[in-house]
Amino acid sequence: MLSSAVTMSQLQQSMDTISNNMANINRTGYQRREDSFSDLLFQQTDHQRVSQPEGNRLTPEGIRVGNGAGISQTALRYDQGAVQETERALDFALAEAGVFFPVQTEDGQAFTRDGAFYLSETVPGADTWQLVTREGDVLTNGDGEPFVVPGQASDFTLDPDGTLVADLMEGGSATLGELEVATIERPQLLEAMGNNLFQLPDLAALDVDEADVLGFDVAGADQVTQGALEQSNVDMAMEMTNLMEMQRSYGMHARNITQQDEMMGLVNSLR
Amino acid sequence: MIRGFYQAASGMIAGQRQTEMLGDNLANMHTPGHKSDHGATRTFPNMLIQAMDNGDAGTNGIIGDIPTGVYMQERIPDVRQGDLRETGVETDVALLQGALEPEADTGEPGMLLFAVQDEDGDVQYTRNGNFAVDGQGLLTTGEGHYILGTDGEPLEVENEGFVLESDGEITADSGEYVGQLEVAYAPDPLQLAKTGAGLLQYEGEDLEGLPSAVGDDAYPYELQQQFLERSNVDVGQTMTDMTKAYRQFEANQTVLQAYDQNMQRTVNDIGSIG
Repeated sequence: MLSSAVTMSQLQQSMDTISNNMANINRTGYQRREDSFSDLLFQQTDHQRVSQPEGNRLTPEGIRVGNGAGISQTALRYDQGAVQETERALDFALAEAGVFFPVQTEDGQAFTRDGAFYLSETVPGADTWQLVTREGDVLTNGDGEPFVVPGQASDFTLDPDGTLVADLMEGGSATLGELEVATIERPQLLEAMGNNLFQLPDLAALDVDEADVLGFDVAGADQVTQGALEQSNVDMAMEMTNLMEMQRSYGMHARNITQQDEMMGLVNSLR
Repeated sequence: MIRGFYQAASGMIAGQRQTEMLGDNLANMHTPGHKSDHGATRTFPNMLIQAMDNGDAGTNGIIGDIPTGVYMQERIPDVRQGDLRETGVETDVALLQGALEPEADTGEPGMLLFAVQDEDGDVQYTRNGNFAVDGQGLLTTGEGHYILGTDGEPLEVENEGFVLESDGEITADSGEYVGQLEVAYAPDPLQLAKTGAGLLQYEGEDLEGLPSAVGDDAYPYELQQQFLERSNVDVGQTMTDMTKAYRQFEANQTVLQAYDQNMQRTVNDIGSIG
């Protein structure tokens, strides 16, 4: 009864992951997550205090009683999502799995795959602008430097070599610098911060060398497409199938609990 | 004393144990590589019944023996291969065992397993190929136990982009050779005790560690990256068995009640006057 109850709560969590994926199906650059199960702790019950040969046993002595199943990992799946043309100069789609745009947030450096950027004044009133995400976090290059546009820009061009150029209203153009993407070697390290952002945990505490997991690359034409956005990598049909499977499983555990309850009822009605 | 009283009670307990086991099978229907359990029940040792104070010298007073009930003696795993499911995830590896020769002493073929290092540094085994890569770049199980190579060391695969050949040779994303994944052979799979977190501990005679199946034609196997071996729990069978266990429990309860009515007769009716 207890193992069914434990497993039901874990199935519930797995359904939460599925519904979170479904909720974000239209979110640009969203990376789906996937749960996987494993069996839980086993308790060994021994029939006899002093071990004695017990006749025709096939397995080691005692019986091992399982406690149901639990979620062993909720892994980030970072396969490439479909790319949709938007014709907007500040929309960038990453065309390679496992790379991210580096942004600066209030909580430090973060990474996102959402390539829709906007302009925001560096300081209110100043006529200099910087590129920010939908949430207002500042897009940076590998060194954490923002892209600053001096004055009003009319258009942006990303050269094949990764140089970002702004055409200015007052004429002429300004080179903003090289657009860079962060390559995360072990994406499972990333912690989700919400708002489509990820950050690296305290690498020193994990005894991981930052150079081993994080690198920066100039965003060439093969890595970034201008005027397009990457859709989420959630597969609706697959999520629905998983959901149905979880629901059936949940129902079966509910039945198991009912049955065990009836068994207890039988015990209670003995007298 | 009415002997059947305790026999019926033991039948109920065995039915309870059976239901617990089936519930655990159901719980693990989504656990990759999980092997479902089957309950083996056994009668308690027989008891010799002797007549008290009987005048017939010829039989020596011995009436015969009677079993004293039933208990669930063991849970025997069904070690058959589960079906494969394509996941498209690089860190998923399915172990497909080929036609293994039956062992001479058991008459059954053995089982192939991945070797895993547990918290104490000892080697345990698993069939759950839902792996992950940890922060150090080492290949681990979903719970974080290191997957071992043939050299007994954890495999450093750098990141999730590694390529695993069907024989277990691993090449990292960078093109560097990582090593050979260990595939161990358990001659008697029933000696593998489940210890939790998907791990199996070998408790057979040879506790030094199981022999490797790598490079040995007697133990054919194939590894499939981006696939998982599903649990071999048969849901329909499990639900049927659960109903059966319930009815068995119920029948024993009825028997118990019948005995109780006998007792009631004995206590209340015998000797009552009028």
